Amino acid sequence: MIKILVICGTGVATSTMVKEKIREWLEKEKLIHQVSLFQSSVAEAVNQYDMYDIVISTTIVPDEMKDYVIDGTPFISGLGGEEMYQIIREKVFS
Amino acid sequence: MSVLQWFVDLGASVMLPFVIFIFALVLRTKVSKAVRSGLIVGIGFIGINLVIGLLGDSLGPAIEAMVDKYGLELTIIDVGWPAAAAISYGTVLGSLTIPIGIAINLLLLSIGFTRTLNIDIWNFWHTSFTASLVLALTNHFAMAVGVMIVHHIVLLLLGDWIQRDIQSFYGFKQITFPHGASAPSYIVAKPLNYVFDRIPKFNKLQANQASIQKHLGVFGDTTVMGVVIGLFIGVLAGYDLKNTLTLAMQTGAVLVLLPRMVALLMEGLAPVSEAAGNYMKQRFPKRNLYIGMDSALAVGHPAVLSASLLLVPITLLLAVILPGNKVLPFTDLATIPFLIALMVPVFKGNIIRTVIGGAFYIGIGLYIATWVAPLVTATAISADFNMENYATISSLVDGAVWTTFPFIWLPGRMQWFSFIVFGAFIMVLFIYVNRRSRHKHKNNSYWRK
Repeated sequence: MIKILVICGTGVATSTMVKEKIREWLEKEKLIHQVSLFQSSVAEAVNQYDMYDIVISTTIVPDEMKDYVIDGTPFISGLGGEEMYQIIREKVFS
Repeated sequence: MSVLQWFVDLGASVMLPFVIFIFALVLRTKVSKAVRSGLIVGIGFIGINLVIGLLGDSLGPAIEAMVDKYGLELTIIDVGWPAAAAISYGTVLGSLTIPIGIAINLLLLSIGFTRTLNIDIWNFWHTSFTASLVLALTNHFAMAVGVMIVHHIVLLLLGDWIQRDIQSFYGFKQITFPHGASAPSYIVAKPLNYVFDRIPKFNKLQANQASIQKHLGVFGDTTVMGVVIGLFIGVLAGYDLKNTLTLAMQTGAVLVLLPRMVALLMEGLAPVSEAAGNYMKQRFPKRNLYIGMDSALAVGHPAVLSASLLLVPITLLLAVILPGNKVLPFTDLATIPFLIALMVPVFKGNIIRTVIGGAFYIGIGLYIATWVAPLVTATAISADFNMENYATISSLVDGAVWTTFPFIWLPGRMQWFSFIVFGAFIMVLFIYVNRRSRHKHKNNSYWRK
């Protein structure tokens, strides 16, 4: 089971939108049963981000977790979301 | 009119699913998706109501006991933005703010009055919050809609104004935050920064943000924050150990559950807000515009998070020592990052300045939140929220946001004449913002057309 964490400022607004998009994509690709999706606020994620296989953030993250996190803004601005899906796909099959 | 009244009287959890369903269909969402959207929003509403009930049941009596014991007059519970948003969307004005906001934005873009295309539909609740309070105060529906329109225009102009600092400090290209709770603080931070720059010695002070986060980071976790505040209030209320621990777990539960419930609301709104955003973007495909998004994108910045952590105890302290304040900050302690997210770029990430500026801002905000509390309570009741266990409620977001005060006070004072003041303010803001932009975009054909 691949664990994906989606984070944003509150763990409510933009992360929900990104999570829903990923969920739809996973359903379309029939990968939904290999992945569990989580969401949280960035303040909470700081203490526990390393528990997840993929961390996607729509907000700026503190330096210590920078290398671990994928920028999720393409999902909301609608530009370049394809690459994100590619990264997720690779993780799921690796 | 009576049909509409009957419909509104159904209550938010019944009315909103229909409204969202219709919006979703108008924006050409698939029927199955539209049905689900509407239902999820209604369910989110019921969830929020349940959690607000829990907050009242647990914190309400504790606060009463605390007031009896120490004479602390903190009788107004800060239910926070999740409740404020739900209350705002639960009124007729809440349903109106989405079409009105989109129409105003498109109109102002087409006449070149603003460069901001606000696709952050979710945060339109801020304008219906002010409008609902105006309605509660004046009982004048048209005036409430007028204030809503003014609020939308002011936020768009602020979006234009703050964009340059957002781009240079946060690094978001062509993105701005015309966010009701965040953007107004920018205007306050500007003169404060001017003053800070001119205080000898102080203007050179810097703080190490990494160490703040490392040592206080665990309190930034809402789970811990909620429990700690509960423990504290339990002790102050003179509860025994069992009741104190129970209260702590309950307040912790509220801070964790409330955002989850709002996430449901958001999940239901997502197809609508996405479709509306696309609709707006299609209308202005090639222009060099600023895209208005949620300032949540910025609140993860280390300077914002660190300053917010320090501001949590400061806000509680201010609430206790400021004479005349009656609000007990609670849920929105977790929302402080939003209140200061646009002060930080003005202070160039300087944490000491942000904390002092933020404390000043929130300190004044507590008085505004105290002042609007009866109006928020009345609105919550009219949106069908369960207020049995509350004396009064308020919310730091947007109760402590300075724009809340003029937007509500003026119409209460001067009725329709206040719109002359609002109009003048908008014009001054427009001229000021565009002077700067035109200067900056001298070579940009957009402004010469």
